[in-house]
Amino acid sequence: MTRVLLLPRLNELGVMRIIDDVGNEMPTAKEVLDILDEHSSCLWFAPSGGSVSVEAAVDIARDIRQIAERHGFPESSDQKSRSAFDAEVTTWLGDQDILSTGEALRDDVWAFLSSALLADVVSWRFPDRNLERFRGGVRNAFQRLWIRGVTLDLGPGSVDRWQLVHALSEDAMVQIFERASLAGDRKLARAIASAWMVTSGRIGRGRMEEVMRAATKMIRLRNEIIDLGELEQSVLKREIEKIFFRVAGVTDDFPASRPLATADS
Amino acid sequence: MKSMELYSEPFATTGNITGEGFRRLLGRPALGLLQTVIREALQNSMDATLPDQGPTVMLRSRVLRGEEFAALRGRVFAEIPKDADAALLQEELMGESLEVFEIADFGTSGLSGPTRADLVADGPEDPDFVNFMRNVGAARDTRHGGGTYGYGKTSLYALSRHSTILVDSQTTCDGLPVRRLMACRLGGTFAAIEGDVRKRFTGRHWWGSLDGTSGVEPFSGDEAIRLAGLLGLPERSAEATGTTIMIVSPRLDEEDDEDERLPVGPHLLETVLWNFWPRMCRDTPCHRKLSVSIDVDGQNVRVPDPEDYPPLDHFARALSDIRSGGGQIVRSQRPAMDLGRIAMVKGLRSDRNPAALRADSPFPKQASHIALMRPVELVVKYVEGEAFSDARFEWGGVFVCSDDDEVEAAFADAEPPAHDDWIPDNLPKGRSKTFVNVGLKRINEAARTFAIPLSASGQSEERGQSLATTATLMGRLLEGGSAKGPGRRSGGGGGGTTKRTRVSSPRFSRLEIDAGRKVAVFEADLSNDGRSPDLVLRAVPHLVMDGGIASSDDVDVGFTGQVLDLTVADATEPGESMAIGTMAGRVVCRVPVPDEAAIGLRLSLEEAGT
Repeated sequence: MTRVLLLPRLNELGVMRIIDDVGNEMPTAKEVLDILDEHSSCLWFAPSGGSVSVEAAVDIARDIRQIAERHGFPESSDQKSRSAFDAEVTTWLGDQDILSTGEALRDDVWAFLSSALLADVVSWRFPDRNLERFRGGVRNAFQRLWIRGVTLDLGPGSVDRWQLVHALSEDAMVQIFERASLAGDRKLARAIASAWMVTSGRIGRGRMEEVMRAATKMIRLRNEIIDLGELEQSVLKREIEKIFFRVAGVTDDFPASRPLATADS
Repeated sequence: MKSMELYSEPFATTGNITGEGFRRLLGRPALGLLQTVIREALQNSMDATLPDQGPTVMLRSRVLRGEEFAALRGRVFAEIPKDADAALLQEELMGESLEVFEIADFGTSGLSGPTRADLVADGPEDPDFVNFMRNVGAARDTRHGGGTYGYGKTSLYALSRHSTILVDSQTTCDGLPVRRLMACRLGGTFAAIEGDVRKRFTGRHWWGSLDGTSGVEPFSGDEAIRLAGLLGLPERSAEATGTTIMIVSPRLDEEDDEDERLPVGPHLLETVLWNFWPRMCRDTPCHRKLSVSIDVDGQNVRVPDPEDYPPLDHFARALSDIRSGGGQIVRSQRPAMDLGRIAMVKGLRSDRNPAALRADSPFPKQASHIALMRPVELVVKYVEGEAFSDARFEWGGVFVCSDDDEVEAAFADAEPPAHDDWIPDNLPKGRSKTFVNVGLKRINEAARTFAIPLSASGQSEERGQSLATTATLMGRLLEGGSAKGPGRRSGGGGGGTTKRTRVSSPRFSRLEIDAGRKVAVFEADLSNDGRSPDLVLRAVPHLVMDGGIASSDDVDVGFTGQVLDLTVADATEPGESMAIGTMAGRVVCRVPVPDEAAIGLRLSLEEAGT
């Protein structure tokens, strides 16, 4: 990467303006631009550290929109096409160099993408149009997918780079990524995702919601007395699998559990 | 070779404008004298620009010595005028050397037209020579030109300690190339004997060739070329038209003491850039582009592009915005008219060029200015606004008035002779005055509110007093209130110290083994004012997750919520609660710990029976 692109940022007030002003209709890009013209103080850039690039944000939005169109946007929307859209956006976002600069860590960058450039796509993906899908945060329509992508990416060198993204259920994703103590540690989050995959292979996806709920709680309790993130990768993987197996009532047949190939293991 | 002859102008029977009056016409410009001279001279050069080609201007400060000085003394100022101050000129000419400041332009039309004011100009040329050397106050005739009047040229005389200049021009007259060389002085009025009559003289003097009848003509042809060569003036040919103005013994700064004198080079450089950067930008169209070279005592001073000379980088970007049709339109409502465009650019404050670090640099340390100009793109003045409170940032703006003839004329007419301001009071009441008034008002608004938007400063013209004191006073009214809402008030008023019954947050002390179990020991402090002997101390252990309290639902980690015992002062009781009576002091609580989780403890005081 040769230079840092600074993406447009939209503050909380700007998100409210856009979502309030357009009422119950899907806001069109033109309407959004009119609103932003009127409330230009809501829009800003980092004052230094790279070069300002509205174009980069527009490019990201264009590509996401194309993915949405492949999955039925704007006409049809069902549970299946929406989750396929999520998975494709997740892998796409996880592979964007432009977002690896720290800009994507900011809520207001995502707020701009979701509220200003892709409000119609967000409205399609989340028909209830909840405000938290537009503003930045763990529940933002795209920010949640981006953090999944970069966290669960097994690396370009691995056999099946995005297998965790494709394997995990939405509930499992939410269990990991809406818990800062789990999602904040990439190694830990990946070990949990991998254990989820292994366990669901043993007991089936049907029971995984309850197992996941108990297992993540156990892990968080355990994290108070052992700093799991500091464990060596293979030890951590064993620890997390043991917790899953115990909660699921599965006999631990180590070392026969399926090995997980990651680029940095 | 013959020397120049002196002609001193006598008063005509109808009266003439005197040399002093001529100089006074300039008024008191807001700018320093050197700045006025450079602005005036460069504006003249640009107005005289030949089509399809931008002018080149050389500013040169040098000292005449040896043959050059001898030529000046012997061939130009062979005769010294008879007015009182002329003695000073004579005195200086007796010395060894003489300082001069030259402004030479190339790629311009030169001082063309006839040489005498009483001849009607019937050639294709403008009567520039007459206007520059003889007339004063002629209205401008260059459409949308920079110099609206010719008064500014008096600044050239003012810069000379002897009010004396020498002009060398390669130009055309009736379509034919001519070379002209002439010196001029504006002294005070005086009386002297001429012939047998005592006459009064206006104080205006010219050196050239007496024509025997009515005055003096410039040296021309070979005579002029040879003398210009002797004086070391820039070489010219029939193709290389243009004008050199030599200011004799210039006041380049007001300090006469040699040691106190500031270097001239940076001063010239900054004056040129600060006033003419719009004509020097990289994207300035070719035919308007001004190239300047600066030469001080034989040393060339490099002139950087404005884009590389902060803070002009911001101004250059703003102007570039306007040139490409950007910026905001400034409008007058009644009468409805577009007055011009304004563009503002903010950015990081870049390090200044060393030349801009001098104390008298015109360049602000932190720019917060709007440059005002007409479409001719010469800076009239800068309006200073509010700077960013963060000194790492600065902003620059540009206002260019509309090229609509009526609007442009309004702004041009509002300029005083030195073109360094827009003064609406110069205009009669009417549309023009409104245009300039409204324009300036909008510009000032923009300057004041760019860094601090109106919404942030509360929409008011002036920021009022701080409300902190009032807020503190109002806050005191709330002091007696409770955050708990209705219910039992803890503690009580009354005088003296407010001792209360309370227990501190528990602190983890240590782990113990008790009958093969891991036990955590917590400690706290209990204070007791004895007024509520019925209170019960209750301990509630909990699991710790993500640094906070977690329920034990869903998970089986062997956590029961059991408390082994509580100790207050010296009394110990099993279980999670005990009546405190009037006891006070250290509280110790022992709680069994599961293998795979951490626990925390809450202590509370409750009324008995709850």
